[in-house]
Amino acid sequence: MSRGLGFNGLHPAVAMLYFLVLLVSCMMFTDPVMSGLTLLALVALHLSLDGGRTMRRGLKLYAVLALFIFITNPLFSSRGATILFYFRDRPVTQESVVYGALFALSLVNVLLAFAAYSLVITSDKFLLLAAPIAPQTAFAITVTLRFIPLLTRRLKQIMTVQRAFGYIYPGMRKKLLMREGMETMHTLVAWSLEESMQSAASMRSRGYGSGKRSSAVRYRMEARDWACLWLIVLLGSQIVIGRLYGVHDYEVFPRLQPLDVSLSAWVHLGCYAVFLAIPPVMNGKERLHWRIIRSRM
Amino acid sequence: MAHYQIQNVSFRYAGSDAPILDGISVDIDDGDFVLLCGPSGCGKTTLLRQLKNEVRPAGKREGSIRYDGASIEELPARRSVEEIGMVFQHPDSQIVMNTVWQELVFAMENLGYPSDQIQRRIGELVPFFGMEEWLHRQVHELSGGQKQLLSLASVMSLRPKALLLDEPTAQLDPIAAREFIGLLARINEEMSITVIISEHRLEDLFPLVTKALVLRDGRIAYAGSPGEAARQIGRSGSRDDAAFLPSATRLYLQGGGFGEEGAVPLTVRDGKRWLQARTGKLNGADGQRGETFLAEGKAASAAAPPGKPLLTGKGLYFAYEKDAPMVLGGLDLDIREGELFALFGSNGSGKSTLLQVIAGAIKPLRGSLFLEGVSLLKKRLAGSVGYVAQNPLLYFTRDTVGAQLDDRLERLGLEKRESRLQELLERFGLEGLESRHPFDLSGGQQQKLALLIVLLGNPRLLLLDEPTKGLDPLFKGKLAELLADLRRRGTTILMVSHDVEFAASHADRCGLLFDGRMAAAEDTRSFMRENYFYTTAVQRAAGSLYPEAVVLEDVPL
Repeated sequence: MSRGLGFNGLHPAVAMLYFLVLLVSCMMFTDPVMSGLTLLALVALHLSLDGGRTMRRGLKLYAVLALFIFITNPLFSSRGATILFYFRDRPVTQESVVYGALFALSLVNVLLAFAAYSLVITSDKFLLLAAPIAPQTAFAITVTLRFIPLLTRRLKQIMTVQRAFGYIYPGMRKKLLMREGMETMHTLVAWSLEESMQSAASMRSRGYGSGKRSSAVRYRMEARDWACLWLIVLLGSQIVIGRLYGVHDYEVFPRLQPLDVSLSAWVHLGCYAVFLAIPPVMNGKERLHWRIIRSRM
Repeated sequence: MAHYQIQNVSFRYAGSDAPILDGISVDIDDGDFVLLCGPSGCGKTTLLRQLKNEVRPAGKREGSIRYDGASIEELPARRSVEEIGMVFQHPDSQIVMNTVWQELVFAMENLGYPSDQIQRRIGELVPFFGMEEWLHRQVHELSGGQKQLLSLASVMSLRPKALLLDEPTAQLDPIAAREFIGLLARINEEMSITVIISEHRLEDLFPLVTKALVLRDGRIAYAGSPGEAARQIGRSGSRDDAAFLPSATRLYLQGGGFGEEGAVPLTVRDGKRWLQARTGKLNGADGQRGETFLAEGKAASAAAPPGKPLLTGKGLYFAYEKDAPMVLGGLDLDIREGELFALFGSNGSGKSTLLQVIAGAIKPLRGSLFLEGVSLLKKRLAGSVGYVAQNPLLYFTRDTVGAQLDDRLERLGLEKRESRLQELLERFGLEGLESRHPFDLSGGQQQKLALLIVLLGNPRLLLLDEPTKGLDPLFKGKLAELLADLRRRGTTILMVSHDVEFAASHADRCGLLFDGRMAAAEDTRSFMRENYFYTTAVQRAAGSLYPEAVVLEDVPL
């Protein structure tokens, strides 16, 4: 399996570490500047990964969730000192409106980060990472992955026959449908058990269980992997340690805090910005590289 | 030294008294290409499974099998896995992993090969098998032919010295099967790997092998080079055994050629040459005899009376998804009462889809479908159309054959006594199996049982999806008798098939489905005569001399 260039081509362990730090940051920061920056970076990451296709697909869900939290939070929580207006005799405070907005923002960030994770760490890569740690589990997962489409197709075939017999028809009663469903499952299970005997013979005849399994693909740490790893470790520890020491520890209640503009806050922000820029820059560099090659041709 | 020495081997399955193998002795040399053939249940698979330790069935064996000079039981496990590869019949059940790539490296990973070595072998294998295009796909996206190639490639990754194949092309269409067999021949010739294959698809395989073994009731009935085996069969005069030979060879035997000197023709090309030489000898002036025969044939085909239409479809359209290409694109169809109509077409031409539409399992997007003037799309006529899918296992929802039949009768609202059950059981030879599990029956019995379950509903029109797939020639003959019997009782049959030879002998009319439309539909003889590829081997071998010859019986030898 060949590795691409750009962020997608990184050693999966390094990419995994990146996403770990990113997710921790998403959950850790309530500071509006930091959260806003995260959102921008995640959008850029999605655009650079697949042109934003996955992000657009989830957009509706994200918007509904965010809106829901943004609206309901001030209605249920009256914490905060600055009262904006009264809604059904309950005070709606400026602080809880802001808190709702920030909460919604970090939720969207976490969701986007997970979506990006699944684009970069595909199931193949995850299994390769898991294989040395838990070989049996990784193998079981791979085999199961194969069974899902296989069983779906068999189910369809069995139901075709039931429909041709007129046992299943549109608009039939729920109870009857349930009964037919049990028959379908019975056939599916019996058939699959029968086939699994043959699978077992095929596995045995190709030496399964005869000793320790090896792995065909071994990702090697290349120079760029090491460079990225160090960058992530350095910046990541900066970000986490800084936050633990109280930099960008934004408090909403009881009253909105002014933004942190100390020198350490600027350094912290800078480190985070560089960290966020790693994947879009790596992917952007590749794109630029192609552009330049093309313009020279 | 022989690669395998099989001496006086007999075998009984555990818990059974009847021997399934009975005194088999044969030597197989290094680099041999051995064909095992014979009717189902003759012991082909059992013999093949004796040759590899990991798949040997439980039971009692007598006699000795030596591999590379030593008893096969003493072969170390690792050598057995590496040196003897096995490919099975069903594409889906022998593949274990999720992606092509993972399946390809499965065997090597099992044996703990280092990753550098795996990469190197993959690098060699992939171009040899032409898998570049689909190397990174998931297994469920592949065609049956690709799956079997993948299984073969995965076995070849261990660089075996002997390959065992158990009906590897039984589930494939003819084109994929030919490709697979061609690759096997290459492996055998270029790598000098011993290949032992059991198969029913002999037309392609017979000319390629170095040794043919015909098994019958657990014994070797005929053995030798393909030519020798054919001569032995010819001398024995057995029609049943001759069914296992390629058409060109049968033509030769029919003409009494086995008494002559010279090579036995195994391919269409050689058959044609032999026939030309022979008719030249007999007639002096060639062509004349063919012309007179042509005139007779024309009169015969014109005499067949056309039945009245039973099923008419007009402008049928179907697609599986909104933007997917049309599987049926304005298809017209006309099936006449009492006929057997055979529908051909490549994979994905929409043959099976058409059957499912007629069976009422899926609704067409547009078009009309009438059975004797009643629209099948508006009103479902219970039991008027019977559908038999390719896989009989789809029909078994109960734990015994008896319970399965009772369930069917109950659903049809029939009493056991007044139904055709007893009569059908007798005719299909399925009596006395009521207490068995449907999955424990033989493949042929399963197929007959599925057909019987459908027939209990007394359908006017019977739809068969590739009924001859994976059947041996003898069982095909029995199936043909059953179908003929049903037709005498007024059942019309529409069958989808790849089996040109079967259709040529038994169908009244044939059609070719292409691009979602009926490209040709005419009576079998003119259909076969007009076609170039979709025609019988007999027509290809003898067609220039006897234009009317489609099946063996047509050739006046």
